[in-house]
Amino acid sequence: MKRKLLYFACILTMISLVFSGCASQPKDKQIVEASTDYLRITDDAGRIVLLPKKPQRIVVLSTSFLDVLYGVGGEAVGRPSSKTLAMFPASQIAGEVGYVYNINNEQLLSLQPDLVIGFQGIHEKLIPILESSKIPVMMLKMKTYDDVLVKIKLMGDIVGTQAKAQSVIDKMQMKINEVVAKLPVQSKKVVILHATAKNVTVELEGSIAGNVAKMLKIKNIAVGSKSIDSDPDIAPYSLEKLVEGDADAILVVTMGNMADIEKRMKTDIASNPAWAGLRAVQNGQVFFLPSELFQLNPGIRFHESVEYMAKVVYPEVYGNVK
Amino acid sequence: MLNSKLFPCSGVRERSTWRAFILILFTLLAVGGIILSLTKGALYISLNDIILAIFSDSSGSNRQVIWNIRLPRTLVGALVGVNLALAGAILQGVMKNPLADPHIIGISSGAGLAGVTIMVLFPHKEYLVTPIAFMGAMFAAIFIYILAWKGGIRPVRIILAGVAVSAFLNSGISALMVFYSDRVHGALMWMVGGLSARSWPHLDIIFPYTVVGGILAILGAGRLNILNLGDDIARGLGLNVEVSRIAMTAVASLLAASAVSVVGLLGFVGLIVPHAARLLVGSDYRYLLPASAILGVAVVTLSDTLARVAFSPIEIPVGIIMAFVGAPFFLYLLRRDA
Repeated sequence: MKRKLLYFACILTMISLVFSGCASQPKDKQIVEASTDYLRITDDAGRIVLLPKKPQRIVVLSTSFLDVLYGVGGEAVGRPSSKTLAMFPASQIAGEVGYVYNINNEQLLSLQPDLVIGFQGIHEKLIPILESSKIPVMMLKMKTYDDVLVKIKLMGDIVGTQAKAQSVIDKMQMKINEVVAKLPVQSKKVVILHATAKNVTVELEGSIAGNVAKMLKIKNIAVGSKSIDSDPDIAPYSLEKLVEGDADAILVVTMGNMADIEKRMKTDIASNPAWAGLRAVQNGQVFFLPSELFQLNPGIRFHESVEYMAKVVYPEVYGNVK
Repeated sequence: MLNSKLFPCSGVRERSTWRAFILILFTLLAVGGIILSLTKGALYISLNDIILAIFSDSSGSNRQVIWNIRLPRTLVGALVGVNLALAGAILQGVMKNPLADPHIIGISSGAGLAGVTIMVLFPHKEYLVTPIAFMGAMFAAIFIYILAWKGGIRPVRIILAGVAVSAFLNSGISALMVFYSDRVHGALMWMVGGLSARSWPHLDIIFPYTVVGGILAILGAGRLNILNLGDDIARGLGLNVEVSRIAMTAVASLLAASAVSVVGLLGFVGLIVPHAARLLVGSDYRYLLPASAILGVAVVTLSDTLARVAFSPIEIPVGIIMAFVGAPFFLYLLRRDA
């Protein structure tokens, strides 16, 4: 009986704790809203994130944002494990917190971050844990060029290097303008395939390659078809429509070792009559795009993606790749 | 059984009339499925042009679409339907278990792990997916057989060993997917199973297996009937139960592995089609096998047509459509019969 009472008391205390926790939240908010905080942003998940002071221990959970952060002169104490080469060797000093899709909570918390930057759509499940530890966490997405610009600016605001961020943006924009200025009047039609010839998946406007093509005024013949799921970047597509679309060139976003994939896919495509009948294939206009520029977000190297595709599609204007 | 309900005084003659009727119905469905699959697509091509494209060697875009895309895809789908349905029907008989299908004897997970390993770890060696997946499937089937062998084969042991090995292999697939999540797209599409971009070379791969496997399956129909009487009676009738079981499982493995290596892990056909056929023609394997094969053709071709047309120009992997449309239909059959 005594023990039962004890349990009951425990449960009561817990419940009251939970409720008092809930009740105190709005009060917290009021305090920070008194404009003493360092930064207040709405992240891409629609959450309001408050940074009471300038973050000193940032943990970034996605490589793309890591590059952006270092690009504007920031530093991280934690980064995702990755097999791709980092742009800033300095960023490799930061502690690893596991692979992007499989972040290790304990490692993450042990770094005692005062800001965690996750990728929207991947890291939502970490929000409750971090929030309960009173660690600010923002969910950001970065696909298109516009996203990149916004994120560079945001990182500049976070680390307090607005001027540097602006110069990074200006430099990038200038290089892109140079490329766009030289675009030929007659634009080409392309289709952008995702990764493999085993099935037909096309990249739409929301993907990195699709976005770059749009900036270069290249006509993507798959654009305009709605994707059936919520992810508008890629969609399984009808090969028949590709025949009808009659693209000038086929661009393939690769994953992994590009040279090997290129060799293999070229024979795959040539030996499969379903592909071999396409005009672009017959004319040898099948090109491969490196994964670090078109599969993973290039971030502050976005101009390189633009330059790369321009060279691939209009070699007569921009010269050949490599 | 359904026929006894429809024909209360079911004599031998009525039963065979009923079976003939069902077989003809299935055949019509299959032929209809193939024709529909040829005539419908993201691109509208008139019937005239289709016939022209098939029988004359012109070089227009119609010819390209019909001859190099639609026709081979339809044929690959039809053969995949035959292979998976036959494999399922055989396995359900051999294991005397209604849940037996290519998944149970480890074929899907074996092929799955092998295929996904190639696609994720060695994406530049993608041409190996078909042969390696085939080897993975056969290896898993043999492995399960060895595990289940203890002075003979008992169906329950095979099924339990199959479940365990499948779980083991599937954990490998999941691990690969988690650690290489940036490359899973191709692997994911393959695991769902689809006929996109399948053309003549794929037909060349699967065709010999369908012919050989199909003939062996039909030849084994009598044995399957005897096996279904129970081991003791089968032995009494002079059948070498173990050898028959191993032989028929091997045939099923060949059929399923060749299909899986070409189109990916297409579930459903191997499990549901034989059941649907059984509900309609009964469990005499001399009728059940052809009925399953023909129904398999109908189901795959019709589902693939729907998959291509429903959201055109977006295509849905056929595996999704098949389960989505087929499962409710199967439940209907099941309820009606019960």
